[in-house]
Amino acid sequence: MSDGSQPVLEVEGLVKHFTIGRGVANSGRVVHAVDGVSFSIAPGEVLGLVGESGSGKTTVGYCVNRLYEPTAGTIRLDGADITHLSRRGLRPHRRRMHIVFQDPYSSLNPRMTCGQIVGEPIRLHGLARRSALEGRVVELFDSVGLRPELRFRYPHELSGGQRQRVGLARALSVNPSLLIADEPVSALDVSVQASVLNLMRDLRSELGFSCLFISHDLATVEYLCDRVAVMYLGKIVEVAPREELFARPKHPYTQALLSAALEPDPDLQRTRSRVVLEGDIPSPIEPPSGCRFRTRCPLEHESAPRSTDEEPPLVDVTGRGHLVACHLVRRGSEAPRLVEPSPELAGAPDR
Amino acid sequence: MTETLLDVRDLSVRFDTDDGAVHAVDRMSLTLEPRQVLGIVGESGCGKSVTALSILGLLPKTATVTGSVNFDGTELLGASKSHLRKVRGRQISFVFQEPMTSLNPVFRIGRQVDEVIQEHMNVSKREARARALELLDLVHIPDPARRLDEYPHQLSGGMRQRVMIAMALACDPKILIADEPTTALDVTIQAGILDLLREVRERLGTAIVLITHNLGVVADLADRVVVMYAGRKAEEAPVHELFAHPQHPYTIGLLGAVPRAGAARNGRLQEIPGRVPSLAELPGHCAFADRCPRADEQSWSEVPELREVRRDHAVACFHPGEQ
Repeated sequence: MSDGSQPVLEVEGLVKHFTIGRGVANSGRVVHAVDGVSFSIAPGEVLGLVGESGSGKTTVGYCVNRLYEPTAGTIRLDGADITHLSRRGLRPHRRRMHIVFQDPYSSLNPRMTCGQIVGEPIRLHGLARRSALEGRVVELFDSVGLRPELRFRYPHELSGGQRQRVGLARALSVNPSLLIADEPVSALDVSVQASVLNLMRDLRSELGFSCLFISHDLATVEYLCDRVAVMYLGKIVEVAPREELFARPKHPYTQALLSAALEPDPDLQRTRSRVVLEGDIPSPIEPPSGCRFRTRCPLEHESAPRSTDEEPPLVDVTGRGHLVACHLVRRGSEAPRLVEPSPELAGAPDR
Repeated sequence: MTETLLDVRDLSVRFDTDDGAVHAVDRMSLTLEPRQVLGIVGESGCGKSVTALSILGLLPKTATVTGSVNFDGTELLGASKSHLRKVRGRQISFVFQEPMTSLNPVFRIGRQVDEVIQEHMNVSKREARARALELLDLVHIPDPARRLDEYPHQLSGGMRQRVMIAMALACDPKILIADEPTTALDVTIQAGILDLLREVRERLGTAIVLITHNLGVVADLADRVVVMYAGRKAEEAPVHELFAHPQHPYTIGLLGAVPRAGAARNGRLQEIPGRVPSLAELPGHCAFADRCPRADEQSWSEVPELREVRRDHAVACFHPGEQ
């Protein structure tokens, strides 16, 4: 973004509310799934969107892809406002973004061969026909590490990892500038996850697409993303470049999340201190007033009563693109530390 | 030599399905000492859950189980239903992965906890309720009296899993078998449940069999680890030994495949090519051979037996070693 080029994706003040209970008793109950989220993705950048279940991360992805109709806000893709375009109006823009879903079992049509699945977007956009189409499909299979013969098979004949590769090939078939990946590896076995993550990393450096990578797993996000946004209950609470976020998390929620992630190393895992958050994520039907994290924040007493009355805005606290939404984190002063990061885990040395 | 609480010897499980036999577990042996946390790690289909279920005779009729399961001096395989019923829940209890489906949605929490207590202990309703309160308090459920009057859907996933653990602890069991107890939960909730299990072991002295696919969970809680692959034990060692000196190429592959903190600086993730084999027939060779960089003629012609290669560290591989 600093190079002044136009962002591939710009999301401003995105809101998605779901109305539930159409009956008389429940009418007017609203789930505040996403409540004012803004971010942008530069060309070639991978932005990780992390959060626990119910944080609204998937809803953001679906809104960007217009699988959900946003309640408010704007979504600009390559500079074009696509927020409220009709299905027809959206069609030319569909080429520029594609989504890979979490579940490789339900996101492929069981009645189509894998080759037809991968070729469908190319066919629909009229980009190639017959032998050219066939050639492109073979090429795509090759680029995601699938034997080209597999294009004659049906999805049920493939393993989970292979299916996810088909999903990836389909998404990349029309050379989109933005790939939305919604937990693409969380349904896969550990040994298979690694190869899909490596593949995504290779393809990204080869093809240069931007990516919105949605995940609950911090280590996966650290492996793949350039910048990370942390969501909590429909809001972004912190955004920072990857190294900065993992080395110097500032928001208490981010700190808690990082400290709770399990390390596959018993020496490290058993000596590090962790913050166990009290209680559960509150209901998005009646989110807490003021700061949404205050009901679980270990430092709530320090920011009360502001925490209840005032919503902390997301502001740049370093001047170098580290944005935090917390009353206790200010520009020019150190963020409160919930735990001392263990030296092995902290990345770059402190300034 | 410490006493052994649970001694599983040469346990094999075969399912007879319409598509032929499936050999889910093949000659598996395990021992569990009092207060020990034994982690069983493996990917889906490696037989870790089937092993656990077969200990208490919880497998469907299509399963043929052979071998021996000795608990505290008595044989459980082939034991009468009434004997098993006395062991289940009272001396060995289970916590399953899905806290959403393990509770009955139409009964209040209190009734379900009371039922467990009354089933196993000869107590009045009032005593059962008092014990239920005590149990919910033990697993750190805030305001337990109110929670007992609620229905499962009113509790969050983490709370429900705490209720499940409370029910499992109702009779002060000697062994708690936890099958993927935190898999369905969020990171911050998972940390709390692992702390609770640790506390259960420390305060009540319960031995725990911890079944998981997550190496982080094992690193956090287990004393000893068994790595399973395709129905067999691939490697077994104390936890620090296993993570510091893994010997089986599969274990090494798994450890290299997980992204960890500092992942971006650690270079590429290690991939294990290929896929988990089908269990339709027992191969006459090493089950990992087709995915193994070390496989040679011997790997393709013989089944590697488990042998000790370092102190208290066994591995089933012809070419063990850290590199």
